[in-house]
Amino acid sequence: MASSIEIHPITFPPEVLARIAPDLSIQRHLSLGVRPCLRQFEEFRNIEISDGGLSRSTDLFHNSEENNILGSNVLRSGKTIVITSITGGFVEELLPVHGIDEGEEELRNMTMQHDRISQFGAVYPVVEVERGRMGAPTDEEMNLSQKIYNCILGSGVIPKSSLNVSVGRRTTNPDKSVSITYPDEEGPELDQQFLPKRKWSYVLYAKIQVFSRDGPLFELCWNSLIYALKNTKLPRAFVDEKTTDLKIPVRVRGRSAAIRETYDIICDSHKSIPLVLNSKNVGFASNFGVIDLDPEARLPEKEDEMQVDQEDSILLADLQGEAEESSVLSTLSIISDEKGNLKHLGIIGGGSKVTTETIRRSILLSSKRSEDLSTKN
Amino acid sequence: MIEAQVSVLDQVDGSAQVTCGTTSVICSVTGPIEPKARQELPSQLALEVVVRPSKGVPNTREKLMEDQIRGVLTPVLVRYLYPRQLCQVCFQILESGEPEQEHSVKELNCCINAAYLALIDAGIALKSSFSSVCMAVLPQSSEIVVNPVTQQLQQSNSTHLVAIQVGQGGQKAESVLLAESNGSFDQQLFLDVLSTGEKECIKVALELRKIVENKIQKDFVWRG
Amino acid sequence: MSVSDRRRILGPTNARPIQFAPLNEDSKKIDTERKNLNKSVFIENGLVSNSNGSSYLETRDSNGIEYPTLLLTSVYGPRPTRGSFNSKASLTIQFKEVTAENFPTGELKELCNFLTNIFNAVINLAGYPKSGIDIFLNLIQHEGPSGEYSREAILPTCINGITLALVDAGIEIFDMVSAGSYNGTVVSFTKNGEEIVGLWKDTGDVEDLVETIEKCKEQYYQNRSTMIKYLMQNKK
Repeated sequence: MASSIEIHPITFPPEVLARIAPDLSIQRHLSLGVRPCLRQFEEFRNIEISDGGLSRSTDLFHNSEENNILGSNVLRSGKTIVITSITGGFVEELLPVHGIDEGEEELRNMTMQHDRISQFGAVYPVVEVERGRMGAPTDEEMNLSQKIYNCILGSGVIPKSSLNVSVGRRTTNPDKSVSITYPDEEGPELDQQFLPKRKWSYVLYAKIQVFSRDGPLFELCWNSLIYALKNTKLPRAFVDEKTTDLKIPVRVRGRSAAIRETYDIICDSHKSIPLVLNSKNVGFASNFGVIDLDPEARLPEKEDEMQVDQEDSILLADLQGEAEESSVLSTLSIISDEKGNLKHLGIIGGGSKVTTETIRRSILLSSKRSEDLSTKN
Repeated sequence: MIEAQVSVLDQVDGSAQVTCGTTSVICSVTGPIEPKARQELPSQLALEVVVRPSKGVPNTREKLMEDQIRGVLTPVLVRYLYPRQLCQVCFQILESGEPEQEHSVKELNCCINAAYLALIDAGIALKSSFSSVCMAVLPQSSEIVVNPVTQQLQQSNSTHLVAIQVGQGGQKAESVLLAESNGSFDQQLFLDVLSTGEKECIKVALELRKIVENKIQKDFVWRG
Repeated sequence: MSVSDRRRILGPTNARPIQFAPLNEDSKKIDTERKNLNKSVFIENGLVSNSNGSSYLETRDSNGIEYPTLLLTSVYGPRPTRGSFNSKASLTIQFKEVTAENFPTGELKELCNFLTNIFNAVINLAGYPKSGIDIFLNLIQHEGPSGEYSREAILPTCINGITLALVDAGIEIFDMVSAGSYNGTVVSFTKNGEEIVGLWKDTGDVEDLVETIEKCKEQYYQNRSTMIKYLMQNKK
């Protein structure tokens, strides 16, 4: 007699199912009204921030001249940790030899006003995501850096005037002591001819390091960068008195310009001014995904359970986890402030349809999120 | 508004050159071809997108554009028809028509439209037609300008790109494939931009359709 | 233009880095002697969830304010290697500065070589054939007295960090490794101070080696008991 064969369906623990069949895993979770990361559909992760005590202006470093970090932020959202540090540099503006023509200056200012982006300053970010590999930046890191650069420039967070250096003079007094004076500290009787005739502006670099990557990173990196810019302090800078009158000639030999740099701009370790941001242009970022419920993936319902009326298309806030990231193909990325003014809106409609209603709801959630984030310190 | 020619290159499977105002792009499509081992997908078509700028060597800016174009093409290609194969889509920007340091929206717009024509020329299966438009919103009047010139782009408060999947014989906007908006704007303005974008995309789709019709007529000219 | 330049946004080419004026004599910070500092340590394992094991170390002086060293170590492995068969695991160690770039690359390579030699002797490599173990050290912050950056100062913390991360990853090691530093010399011990697995000396004068080893051993015992206490408290 043949013995009967029992057939059992294979079941997997949730973590294993998430790796081998992410779309099935996510549909099962959604049909139960929850996400694989066990959050509600429109619930965001909590964010913890601190400045990490990394920048030179914190008590720890007493404005040490060895620490060149001007602003910093450590952001933790779920398992992911983002560390942003802002460093700086100088760029000298080449001015014409015979002084600035009033008319030319006016014309330049007029054309600048018509070019909206030329009124804004940029940050040059480098994003690194630790994934256990060594080598050149990955596509993801390059895309993140470029997107952050574009959005900082396009949204106008930093006015160009914030990056102008108000240059001081270092003089040696008759008693051999050295003093440094800045234009805004001196009285109006200061003689024009003693003002430095060269112009510099600050350049801001941001290094953003991500640990424990768990989902889309742009929004986390952006928010961390905004917090870091908010606590950035620019060190004041000066030149030696004997150089204030100096105009460095630029010699052009063939294809390269040879500039003899003997008089450099130096930074003052004791004095710094906070970086002034355009507060009405500061926004925080959130991301959303849209996914359709697949009726076939629903678990068989028990007899006595009520038939819950479920929508076909679900909006998920703050995507996290492998299952969500690979199965949710329609995404929205929004940078907004708490009043609903938008700085950036990106929609990728790779899967489920993104409707006007979805867009409205996402913008509303994004504004609430920005309000929440802007109150954090 | 938009000028295009198809089959401009002979060594590749499909190609198109699209000019929109001062921006001009050539797109070439090669596929389905043998992929590299690391690119191969077991049940779908792999997609390789390369964007080369008009000046200099490609850098992170072009990488981002490649990522955005990939976002448009991936849902529209019938990928399950070509398992373990590769489709290479390459763009050469002939003229950018915009200040590259600050904007990339006009080039992206031309690339997406060129990709559509080149994919049809190459005979790769598409689920539906698609097209894109770029727009800028002027500061004072909040007027939405379609296909802005450089000066309008520079003055604008915000720039927008909308790519739509077009169905029903090019008459109806089915869904949004890509929307990329930067600057300062609010919800109402964005929704206006989106609806203007849909209308304009349908117009562009009809233009592209005519070009495809002409091409097919020429190809089948010897048919009895 | 090298390849990496095209993959990063570099900023204006004519930009120059910020340089501070050297402080005058009277405004220099008070130089506390390093050897007399009592250190307090904060340890947390398992922060980097996509690695096999990780540990985060914060070393500060006993007041908890000055001279912090923040180090995040992550271990990936054992993971399969391509190529021909290896009977032992291959170990690589990489060092990265997360915020400021203070150490020259050559010095960092020497540091990694030194650490690789130590841990090649301590990890049971034969137990993981055809595999690779990759260790990443991320130095988030380090500040020496009067701003000096010496590798001797961070080496003991690196060694502690790697040991803890290996334990978190569950990779077999013959014994806990730790180190102490004294007067510019770093000596690393295992097996209850019976065996020296590494000795590093780069600066400072030649003096009584036996005394140096004894002083380092004291710190080794201290570090080791701190690590063991943490691991016992957090047993799962």
